[in-house]
Amino acid sequence: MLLAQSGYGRGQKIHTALDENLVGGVILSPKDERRERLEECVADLHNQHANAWIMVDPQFYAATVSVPRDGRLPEYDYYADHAPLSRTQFSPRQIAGYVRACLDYQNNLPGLSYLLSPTVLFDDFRDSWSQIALNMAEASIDHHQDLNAAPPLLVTVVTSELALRNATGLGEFLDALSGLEVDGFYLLVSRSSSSYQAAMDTRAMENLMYFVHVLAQLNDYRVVVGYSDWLGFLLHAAGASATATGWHQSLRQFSMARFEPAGGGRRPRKRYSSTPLLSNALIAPELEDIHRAGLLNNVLSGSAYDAILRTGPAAGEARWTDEIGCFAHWVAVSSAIEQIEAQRRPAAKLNTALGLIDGAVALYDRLLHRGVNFEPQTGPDHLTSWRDSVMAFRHAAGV
Amino acid sequence: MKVTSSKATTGRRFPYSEEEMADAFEQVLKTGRTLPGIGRLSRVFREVDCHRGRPDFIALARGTTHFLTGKSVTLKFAGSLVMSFLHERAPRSLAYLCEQTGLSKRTIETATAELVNRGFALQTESGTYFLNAAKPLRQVQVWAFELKLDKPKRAVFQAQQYRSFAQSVLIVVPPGQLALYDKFKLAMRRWGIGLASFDPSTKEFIIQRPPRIGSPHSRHHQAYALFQLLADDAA
Repeated sequence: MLLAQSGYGRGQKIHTALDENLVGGVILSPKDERRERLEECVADLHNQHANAWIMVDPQFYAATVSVPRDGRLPEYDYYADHAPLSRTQFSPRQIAGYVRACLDYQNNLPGLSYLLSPTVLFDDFRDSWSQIALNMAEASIDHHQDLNAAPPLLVTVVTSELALRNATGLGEFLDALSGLEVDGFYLLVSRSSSSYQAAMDTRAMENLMYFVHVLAQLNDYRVVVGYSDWLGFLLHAAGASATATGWHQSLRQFSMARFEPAGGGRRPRKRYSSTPLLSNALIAPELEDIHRAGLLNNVLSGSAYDAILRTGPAAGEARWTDEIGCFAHWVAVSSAIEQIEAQRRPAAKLNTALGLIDGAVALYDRLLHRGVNFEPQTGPDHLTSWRDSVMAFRHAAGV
Repeated sequence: MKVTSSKATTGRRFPYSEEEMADAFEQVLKTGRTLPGIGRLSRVFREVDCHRGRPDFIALARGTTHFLTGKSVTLKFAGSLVMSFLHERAPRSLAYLCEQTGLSKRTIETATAELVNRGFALQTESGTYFLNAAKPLRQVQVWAFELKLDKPKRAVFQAQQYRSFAQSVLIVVPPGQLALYDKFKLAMRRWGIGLASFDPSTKEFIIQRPPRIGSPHSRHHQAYALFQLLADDAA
C-alpha cells in the first residue's frame, strides 16, 4: 500500500487522494502543520475515510539537531518541553518522560491507526545513539502497554544509508529488534545526499531489503517505510506492508537536511512520473523529446492525468500543476507497488520487481537508440543499481 | 585574437576559453551585419536567465523589438503563467485562471493587476481578462545561441530547453568540434536545432545545419523570457 508522506503545502491533496483512492493513508508531519490544523485533519480523515491508515510521525529525532529548522514542532508540547537534546540527556528516566509525552499526545488524537514511537537517528548500528534508539523503543513498548485501548504501536527506526552498508552491525541490531513485543516498525533511512537520488548505495539498498525481509517475512511484523518513493516497490517485494512518498523532493527521500537551516531554492522543474520508466522525466525537454520520437504512449503511466500531456508535453506543461504532478506521481508509484502486491509468494514478488526493472531498461535502450537525451538524474543508471541490489538480496535471503 | 582571461580552458585543448569565444561571438552578433542563415538581428542580450536555462546569447530578429518599450512585470513566474492562458478573443475568469494554473486566487489577482497595468492584458467590466492584441508578445522572434567548446550532450539538452521560449536555437562550436554532434543529428532534427561553427581567432562563422524556425513550445516560458529581456533592457 502506498501512503502519502505529508509535509508543507498539504492543502486538499490528502483529502482528494483518499477520495480518489490514489493512496491508502497518510503520515502527517507536525513540523509542517499548526497543531490545531493537524488535529482537525486527523479527525476529518478519520470521519471521511474510516479505512485509511492515518499516522502522525512525531519527528522527535529533530530534537537532537543543535540548530534545528523545526517549523511548527515547538507548538507540540511533547517536543517543545524537551528539545533540544544532547547525548547526555537520555537517561532511562528522561527517556520514559519523552516517550510518555509523545505517545500520550498521539493517543489523545481520536482516529489514528497506529501510534509511532519517538526515536533518535543513528549512523552506526553499534554506536551509542543506536543503543539510545533501542532504549526508546523498549520504553515506548512499556508505556504503550499501559495505555487503555490505544491503537497498535509501530516502533520508529531512523538510520542512515551509511549505517546500512554494515551488514554485521545490521544483523546484530535486527536480533535486538526481533525480540520486541510490538506490532511493527516505521523505518526511515537518512540518505547520504540531500538532493534527490533515485538509487541508494547498492549495498545499503540490499541490506535495507534484507532488514525489511527479516522483520516482515521472518518475524511477521508490520513494516512501514517512510520517504521511500520509487524504492517502495522494491521494499514491498522484500515484505513491507506500506511505503510512503510525498509531493516535494524532500518528502520523497528522507534527509536530516530537512530539519537543518537552509536557504530558499529554485522552483522545481515539472516532471512526469512514468511507471514504465520507473523514474520522473522532465516534462520539457525529456518527455517532449520522447513525444517527438513517437514513443510517448510507451512511457505514460495510464492515469487520467495523462490526457493533459498526450498531445504534446511541452504545450500541456502549463496545465500540469504541482497538485496534478503529485497525484500523477502517486498513481505511477502505486501502480508499480500494486503489481508487486498482486503476487503472494516472496519469490514471485521479486521476479515481478525484476521484470519491472528489466522492462524499464529495455524502454530506456529504445529511447536512447532514438536519440532521446536524458539528464543524469533521470537517465537509466539507477536501474542497474536497483537490479544489483535485488539480486544480492535474493542471494542473501535465499528467496 | 587577444587572450585576456586566465580562466581555465576546457582541459587546455583549446587555445581560448568559452568566455573568450563568447566575447568574440558577441562582437559578431552586434555588428548589425546580416549573418548567414540568421539574417539581421536588432538586439543582443548575454546570459539572461529564462527559467529554462541561461543561453549564452539571446537575440531579437530585426523588426520585433517594439515590445521593449514597455515595462517588465515583477511577478514574472505567475505573470507569464497567467499570460499563457489568456486569449485575444476568449475571456478568462479568475476562477478559470486559478484552476488552470494551480496558483492561489491572491497570486492570480496580483499578477493580473500587474499585467493589466503594463498593458499586456485587458480587464472587462465583468472581471474577466483578455490578451491585449495591441501588445502581441507571441510574435516576437527570439534567437537563442548556446556556445560550447565540448560536452555536446549538455549542449543539445540546453538547446532543447531553449526551444521552450525561442523560435530558433543554434549551437555554436569551434570548427574542430562539429563531428561530435553527428550522433545527436536525429534529436537536433526533431527539435529543429541548428549547428554552426565559429572560430574566435578569425571570427569566421559558418552555419552547418540551419535551425528550423518554429513557435516556442511553451507560451509560459516564452512570456517569462520576454519579461526577463524587458527587465534586462530596463536595467
